[in-house]
Amino acid sequence: MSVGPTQRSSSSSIQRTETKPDEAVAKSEAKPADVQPAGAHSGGAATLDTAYAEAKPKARTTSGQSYSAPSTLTRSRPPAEQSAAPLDTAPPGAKSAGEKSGVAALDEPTTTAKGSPTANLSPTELKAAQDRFGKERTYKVVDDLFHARHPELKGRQIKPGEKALAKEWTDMRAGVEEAGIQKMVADGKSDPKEISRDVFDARHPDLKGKKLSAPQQKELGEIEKQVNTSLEPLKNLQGSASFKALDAEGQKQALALMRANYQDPDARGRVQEALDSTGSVKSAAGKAQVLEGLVQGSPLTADKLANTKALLGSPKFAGLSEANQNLITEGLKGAKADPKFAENTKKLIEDPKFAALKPDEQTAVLSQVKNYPDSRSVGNLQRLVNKDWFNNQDLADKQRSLKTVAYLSQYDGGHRATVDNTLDKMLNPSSDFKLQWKDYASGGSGTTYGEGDHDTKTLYLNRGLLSADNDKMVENNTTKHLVLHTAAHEVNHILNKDEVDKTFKYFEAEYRAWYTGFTAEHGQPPTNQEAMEQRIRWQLNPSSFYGKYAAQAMKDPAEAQKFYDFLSKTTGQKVDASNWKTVAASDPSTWKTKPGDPAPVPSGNLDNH
Amino acid sequence: MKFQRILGPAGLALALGALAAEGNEMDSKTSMKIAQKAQADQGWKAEDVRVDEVESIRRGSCTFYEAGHSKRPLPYVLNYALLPDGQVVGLKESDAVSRILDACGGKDAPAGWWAEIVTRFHGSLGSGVVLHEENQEPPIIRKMKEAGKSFAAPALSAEGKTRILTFYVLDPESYILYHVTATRSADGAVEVSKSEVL
Repeated sequence: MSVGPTQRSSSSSIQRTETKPDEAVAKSEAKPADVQPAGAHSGGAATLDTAYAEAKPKARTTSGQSYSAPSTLTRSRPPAEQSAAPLDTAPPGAKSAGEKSGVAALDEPTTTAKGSPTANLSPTELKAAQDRFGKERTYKVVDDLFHARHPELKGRQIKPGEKALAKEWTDMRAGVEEAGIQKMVADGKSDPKEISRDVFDARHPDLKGKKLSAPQQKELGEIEKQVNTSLEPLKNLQGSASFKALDAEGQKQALALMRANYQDPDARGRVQEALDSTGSVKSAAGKAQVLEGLVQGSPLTADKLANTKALLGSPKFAGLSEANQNLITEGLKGAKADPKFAENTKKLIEDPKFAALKPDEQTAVLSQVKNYPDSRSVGNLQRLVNKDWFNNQDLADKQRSLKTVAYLSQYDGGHRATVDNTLDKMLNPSSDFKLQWKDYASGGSGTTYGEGDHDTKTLYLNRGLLSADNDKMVENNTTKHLVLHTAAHEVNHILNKDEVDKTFKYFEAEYRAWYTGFTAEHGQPPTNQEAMEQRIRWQLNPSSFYGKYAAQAMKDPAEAQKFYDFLSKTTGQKVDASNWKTVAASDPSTWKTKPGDPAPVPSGNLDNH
Repeated sequence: MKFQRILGPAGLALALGALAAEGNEMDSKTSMKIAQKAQADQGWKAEDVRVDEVESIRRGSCTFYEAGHSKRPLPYVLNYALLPDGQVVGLKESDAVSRILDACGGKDAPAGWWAEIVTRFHGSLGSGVVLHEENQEPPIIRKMKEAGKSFAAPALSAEGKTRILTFYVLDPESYILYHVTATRSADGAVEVSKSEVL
């Protein structure tokens, strides 16, 4: 349904009032004139409207609203105006190109109304305008929004004298068109003539690609004024000294940043400031990376700008080498300008313990900032550089520790609470746990992952399983088992002060540590089948170190019963001395429990809290 | 040659039988010798070292041992071989495999024994469960079949004077199955490569 100020358009919301330039006369787009409420229009417009109504085919309904086919309008139009093509297709509220009626005044852009014309629209209306502009005739879009805002009008035309409504409709149209312009800029257009013609065509789709008459050219000229105003932020950016200081890639990213935020006046207003903040970045590539991160992290919110500025404006950042700066800017790009990442990175480089590191050690730290651009990783790297055990390591082991901590901090495939608790044992300032790297076999990596020593609260990990460099951790089953499972498993032993013994308690301690490591690595506890196949059978196997102690424990009937009960919980079968070996080796499909159900929960600390 | 198996009713019973017998035939002198070697290698106190003979791979006058920590819950044991000349070799010796093969292997040592020696004494392996038979570890064999892989027992072949050993080994701690190829060149050196199977 339409409302807007006039026209001869059968579907116009705003009527053109030839005799009263300042008055808008509305009629419904949706409703044929002959069914409009009495008095919906007046004067000459009424005549025209009536004529349209007579010529109009039956309205059809779209989304609950109807509109008339504009192609019939010509028949009712005065001969002098029949050449004005827009009239042929004028949608509700549309005025013909080059009209000099009073409606023309209503069609003036309303940029001064409340700053940007899009301020005339509510967020919902703005979203609708952004979605629909260019896909539907502008006037149809405006009428729909206007009617939705004014249901009390019940789709009738704006009457002569309803100046406020008429102005509101016109402002709304300016808002819709501004939204369209901004979307075009966001999509990469910047030629004002091209954009202006697109806006014109959106008003008058039937004229698309056609040569325009003088009045139509005049209407197009008016549109171009608005477009030029709309493009000012883009032009100002391109004219700024900061922009000119960028290389081609940087300028490309700066423009992309402006375009990405063009439809949000607040965000758009921050782009220049963001660009100016790259002045402290030494390399052109680094500047471009910062801007690219902001593009990918758009919209440019106040906290993203503030924290990025704070990081880049830090004297410690300015004091870094170009190469080290680039590790941070690449991290910013990877983090999509996450404000928390920027905040934590600033804290890291301003930490006296970071400053105390040797240059190649600082590079090692910042390499992991780049490799794991996650605020959690950076936060834990800062805690790491404050630990004495870390500072006592050589560069190679520092590199191993850095990639382990950075990887674990951001890994979301596991059980976060358990992983975080494990990390906290190593990194909490008040914790006396330590991480050490150890050789387990001469000339090779072996398959020993690590161990825990609760006397010294030290987690030892196999040095041969993790390369010492500034790259990301190579992710494979071995490395993931090392840093996810083994770290949690062995810390669990330390926390529970487990000791080897010929008891079920020791059997359960090994099962618990494995259970915790499994959960940390996989994000959920093991199933009955996983527990039996991957752990319990091995712990009962006398060829394993565990199995020797289990066998000795089971010589005591009371202890043996605990093993039987445990196997019974896992399999649902009655277990005793006569069948426990058979049950332990049985096919899960024969169990009375469901193999996929959670495995028995061991006692003790299960999440390394 | 008798090999302990991980599980499976028959394998488990066999392994348990071996456990019952262990310790009886190992004299205190040998036990102390192994413990002292473990102490030297790991810094463990001699009284904290538990030594068990691995009877299943005894060959001729060569005997083999596992040393574990009797108090700390460690996920590994140390493997040692007592050679006929009285020397004890372990993973710390980079040429342990060659020395054991030379001293104990002879010409007729089976592939399964070779696989145990390579698994226990080569630095790139160090531990693991050698899969000798298809029914030894049903769950892992089932996973192999699901992945379109087929089981093969340890096998030895020769290319000139080079011996090539292939076998599957399961790391029980990570539950990762590896396919291992060990190549012993004419000069006696042993090179090992391994790849994850699943």
